[in-house]
Amino acid sequence: MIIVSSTKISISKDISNNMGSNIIQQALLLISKTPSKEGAKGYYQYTLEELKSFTLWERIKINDWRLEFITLTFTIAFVFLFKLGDWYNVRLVSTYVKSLSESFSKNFFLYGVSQDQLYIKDSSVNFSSYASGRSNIAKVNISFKLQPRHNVFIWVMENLFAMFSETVEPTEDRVDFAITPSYEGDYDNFISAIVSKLGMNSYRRYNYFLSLTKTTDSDKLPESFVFMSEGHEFQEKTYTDKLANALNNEASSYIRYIAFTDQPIERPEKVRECEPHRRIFISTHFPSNKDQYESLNNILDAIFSLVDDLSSKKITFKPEALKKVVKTRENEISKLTKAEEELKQEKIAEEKAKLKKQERDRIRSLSKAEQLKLEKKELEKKQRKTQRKQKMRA
Amino acid sequence: MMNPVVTNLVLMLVMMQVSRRLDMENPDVLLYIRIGYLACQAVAVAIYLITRLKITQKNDLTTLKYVEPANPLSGEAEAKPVVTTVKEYDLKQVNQQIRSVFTSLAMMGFMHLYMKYSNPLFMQSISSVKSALESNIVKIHLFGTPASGDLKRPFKAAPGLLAGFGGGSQDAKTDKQSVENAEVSGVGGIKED
Repeated sequence: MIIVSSTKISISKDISNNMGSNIIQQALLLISKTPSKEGAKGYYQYTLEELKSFTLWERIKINDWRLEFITLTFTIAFVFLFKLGDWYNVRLVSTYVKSLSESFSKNFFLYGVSQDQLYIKDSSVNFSSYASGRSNIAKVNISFKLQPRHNVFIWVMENLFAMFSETVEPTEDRVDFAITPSYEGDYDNFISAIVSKLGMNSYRRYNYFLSLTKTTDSDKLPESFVFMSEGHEFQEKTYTDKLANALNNEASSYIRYIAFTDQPIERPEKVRECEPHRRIFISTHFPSNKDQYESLNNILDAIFSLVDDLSSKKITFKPEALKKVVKTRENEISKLTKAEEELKQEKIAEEKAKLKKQERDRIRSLSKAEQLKLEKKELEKKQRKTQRKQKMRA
Repeated sequence: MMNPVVTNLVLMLVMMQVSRRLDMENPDVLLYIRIGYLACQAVAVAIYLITRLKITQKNDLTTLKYVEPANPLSGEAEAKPVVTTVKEYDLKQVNQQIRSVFTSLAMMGFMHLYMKYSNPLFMQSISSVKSALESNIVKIHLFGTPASGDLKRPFKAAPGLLAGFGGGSQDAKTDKQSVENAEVSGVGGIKED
């Protein structure tokens, strides 16, 4: 079919411009096996004379535009779905940011990336916001990571794969707060967290600092939460009454964890990365109604005043508990130095082997007589050594 | 309850005898075998889905801690501490079972449609329902067997082909000492992409 049509094309010049799409059309026809509408002639069934006699509009009318229509429909549908997903993500973020302004504008001089802009959209899935201007807290970075709703293909594929394989994890909507306390308000290093039981294993997997802690249930907490801390002392003292009042059982559906830490999120590979850097990480999903936003506001309030209490030394810890923390840090550092040392030794051994090989190659490249000479020398050396040993023994 | 290994063997022998007497070339018989196979898979999936529903309804948030042994085959050097809830653990188990039904469905599809074997289709039909009813998670949630003894979480790994070669048990550890040590060992913090 294609060959036939191409011979026809070679006859007429103006049709050959159309050849690319023509082949695709032919292929499409072959696949669907339905010739263009019954009765109606296809474009290429007309003779050159007939085509010449038509006006431009008539020629457009007799062409088969099905492929173009399909392409266009899909493109429009994709663009529409892209806009829809993008709009939904933006709406989620702006609701979140606005709903939290109650707590943030009460506590901070600046909430948002500038005076009149609450957040910045980096892409359809990444947003960020910022707060600063409060005693005891240097800054709060807020970063949003959302499901790729704008790209329907990826979104569907991700969720489908996750259903059939354990290694693929679908992206979850999440908001991460990183609160950096100011440098004047110095408090002790420790790790203590309140973690939602839904998905706590994965939080431990992806957060280095949580994997240094012990998980304990507590009667004081709502039953859907656990403590993960480096000591009883820390979890008890950081769980203030204000925080307890704000936290309810339902909160575990949108709070992932609230963590005080001086250690990083990613597992350190160098000793330098173990350096304490005090921060408070709060990670959440999107609350689904106003009441939930209300309690999230209260939780944030409680955390901000908790930072005040820590900085003003209203909350202090027993030296024994702090000693244990130091020991854990030292332990981790020694693990790293040991690994580094091993790596160094390996490198040295490698270099030695290389030198030896070079020496061997050098000897091999010498003439036969010289090689013999060298061998003799070696032998003599060895003999002298053994003689010396024998003498020593004697 | 009889040992599932024994019953499996008996079932296999019986099915083999029956399959010998069947005319697999006959399109009618083949149709029934196909329908039977698919129906059995559907029943197995249904059993798992009901179990799943029960697990979510129970919403048992009791904390469960254990240490997963390192798996050298997938390049893990360290034992992995797991801190989870009974609900999450059970859901993971049941999802694994559902996944395995689909994997066997894909395998059978290949064997039957591409390689034109009909015998395994027949042999596999009842046994998938049987293994669904015999799985730990279904026993606990559908039949109300208490989760103790053999059914104590984490479940013991089924004695696999590699167990003999691996040396040492591949079972999860639950004793207090090893859990406590692994829990604070700082193995978390893998990079998220």
